[in-house]
Amino acid sequence: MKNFLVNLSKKHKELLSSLLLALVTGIVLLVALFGINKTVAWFASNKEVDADGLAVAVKGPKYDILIERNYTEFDRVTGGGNAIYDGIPDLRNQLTSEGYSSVSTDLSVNSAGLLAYNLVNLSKSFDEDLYYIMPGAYGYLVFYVKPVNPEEDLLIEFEIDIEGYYRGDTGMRKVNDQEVKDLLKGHLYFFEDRAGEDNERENHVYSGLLEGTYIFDSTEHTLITEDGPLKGCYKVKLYWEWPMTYAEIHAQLSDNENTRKYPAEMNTFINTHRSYVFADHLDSDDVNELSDGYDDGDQTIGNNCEYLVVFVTAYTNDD
Amino acid sequence: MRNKKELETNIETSAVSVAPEKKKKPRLSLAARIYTVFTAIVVFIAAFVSVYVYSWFLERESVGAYAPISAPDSLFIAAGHSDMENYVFENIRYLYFHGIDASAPGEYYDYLFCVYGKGINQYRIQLAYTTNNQFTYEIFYADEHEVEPSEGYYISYDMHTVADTTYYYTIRKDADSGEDVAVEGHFLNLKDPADSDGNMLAKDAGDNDAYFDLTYENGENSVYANVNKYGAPLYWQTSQPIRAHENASDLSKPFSHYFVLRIHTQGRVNDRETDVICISATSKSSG
Repeated sequence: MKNFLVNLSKKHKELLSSLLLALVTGIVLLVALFGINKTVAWFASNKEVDADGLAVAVKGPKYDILIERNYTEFDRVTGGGNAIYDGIPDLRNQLTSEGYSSVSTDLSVNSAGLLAYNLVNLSKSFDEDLYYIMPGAYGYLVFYVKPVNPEEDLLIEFEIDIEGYYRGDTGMRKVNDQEVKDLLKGHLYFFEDRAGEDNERENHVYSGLLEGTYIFDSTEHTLITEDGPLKGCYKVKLYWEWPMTYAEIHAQLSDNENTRKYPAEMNTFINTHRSYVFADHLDSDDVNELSDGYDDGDQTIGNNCEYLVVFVTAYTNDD
Repeated sequence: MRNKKELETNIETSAVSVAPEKKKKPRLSLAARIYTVFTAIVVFIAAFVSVYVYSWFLERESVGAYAPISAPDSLFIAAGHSDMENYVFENIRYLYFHGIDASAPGEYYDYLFCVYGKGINQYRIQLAYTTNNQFTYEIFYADEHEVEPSEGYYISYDMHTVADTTYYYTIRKDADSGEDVAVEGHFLNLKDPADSDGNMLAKDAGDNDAYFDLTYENGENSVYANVNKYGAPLYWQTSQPIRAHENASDLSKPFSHYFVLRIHTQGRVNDRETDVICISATSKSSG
């Protein structure tokens, strides 16, 4: 090789130099385009299935997100194989086309590694033992954060997006009407914490209203130490509720003296986002009129959305 | 040409000095070797880039939790005992009026109806009725009993959707006066004073009552000129909204409220006409 280089004619030296120069310039350009400062899990595989129905959503450089598939109410089918909740298989297909796989074991079809699962709804709808989401419904959303290095503190910002879906003429569609999207944010509330047992609704007290963002600080959580697929994970449990009526919210808002069902910051949110909460009577002070406005908002959501999907997304902090 | 010759000379010289005994192996030309190396590096970079970009899109980590929505059906009227939690509903068509002798004045006939629902805060009851036979109506709050009361006034209701089941309804009485508690309401469009025959009559319901204007008015001075004036509906509504539950914390539970509709006869009969009454409940707080 050394002889090769030494004995190159001048012309070939020039050729080689210009080729190398082009190569180096190319590398520099690529680096500038894609940002070499992003840490890349270059060789990490994105797909892993643990036993017990756990699935790894994405393997990242600092943490993985895991979900459990132990609640499958909305995927139920009759003996003949028909979906009990009409249209859910179409919704799953739509989510798959958006990159979110809802199949727990066959991950070869999912290259993106994003996962869809059932939102846990604890409140039965009045008809036929079903668990539709409707005003008055409540439940929770659980996922697990598994740090690659358990010693390292993690600070992750999760974005919570609520999207509505409906079956249009050409298939499952996402709701694009901004009024409906806003109403979803003003009717479906997420909280960091809830006191009271699941089935004792009258004792529920919510705290830590999440306005579209959840900051996960690993120093406020404890790693799971029990042996099993969840070992070494932090559990994140967010609580949600769709309040039945505005009168109910109003009567149960906390204030400086009394802690009630809803935290005081919810009042602030409602007053600064009135169009998210009320479909009309926005300027009223009368609780009854505002309750009508909230009910109209419920009706607008119900008229436009047949399904909802709560997306919890982490944008990697790569510092 | 000169360069090429020089090149060949150089190669031959190298070959001879390094390995004079060995046969000269066929080799790629220098240019070809350079391009081969270049291609190898480019492929390497391409592989790097493709994997890098693939991972780049996956910097977003996301889960999506899905659920179906059901629009709530929240307010209904039924003919008798209704229980949402146990899926018992008596269709309003079982409410029918029979055996009313409109010609006897001062009589009254009681009928039961039910307002039930879930997830609403409060409602108002509205009546709309024609005045051909001059019936007047009262609504009373009623309490339900499963066992026949041993004393006092009650009306009974035989279930249609459940076999051999009868419920009994007593009219709620005021704790102090002992009087029947009527649901207070007011008329929207009662003509006052009554018409020249002393009959109750509906008038237009305000400036925006286009239906009345189109149907009953015929020019400035000819109201009721050509159409049966007693066919104009009289509108009545409860003055105060009726709360679904006393406690705000019960709002998620279904409710069933029972009412007795009392039809009074005035003895003013129109043999050629019948009367129609509409009962509705609305969850709007304002009329």
